[in-house]
Amino acid sequence: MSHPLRSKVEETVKANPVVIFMKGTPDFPQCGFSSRAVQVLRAAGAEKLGSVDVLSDDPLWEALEDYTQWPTVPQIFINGQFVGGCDIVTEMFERGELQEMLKK
Amino acid sequence: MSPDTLKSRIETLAPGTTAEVMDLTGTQDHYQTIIVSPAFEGKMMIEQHRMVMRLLQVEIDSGEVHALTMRTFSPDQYKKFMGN
Repeated sequence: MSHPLRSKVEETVKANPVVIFMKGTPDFPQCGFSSRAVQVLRAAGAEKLGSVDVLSDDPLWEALEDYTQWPTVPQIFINGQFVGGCDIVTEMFERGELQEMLKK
Repeated sequence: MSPDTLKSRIETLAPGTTAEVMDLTGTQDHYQTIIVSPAFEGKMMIEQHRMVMRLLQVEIDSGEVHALTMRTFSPDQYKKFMGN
């Protein structure tokens, strides 16, 4: 059975071209990994950055974890597709793949 | 888990897989890895990582591998990365 908030997760990840589930907010991150992920996304040219603070929405975080089967924060979505966490977006940025993905 | 054991485990992912394994803390449970595998061809990075995590699920769950960072490449991605 899928999580009762699954449709809310799906709605949230499609609300902006780039969406990050993080600890804190893009301007006031509350975790080093979340902070780095935001910096990388901005450096890669992400303009409209939607964000969800998982610290203030426990039920949605649980639904997200169920949806992606990925245990850590942050989690980044581009065009509704789950891309990964901090390590992955950083690596993709270094290879130029993140920039490419954000152009589409 | 020793670095050599981890390397061999990762290389069972698919024929032609090669892994470089670094013990980050000297405690044989925090590892950094570079993995090149034909099985990664055409896959998103997140999928490549998931494949390795699935392969090592038991060792990760037991804590034998406590932390694992990885850089994954298909052979083509690796060639491009190395600049030729």
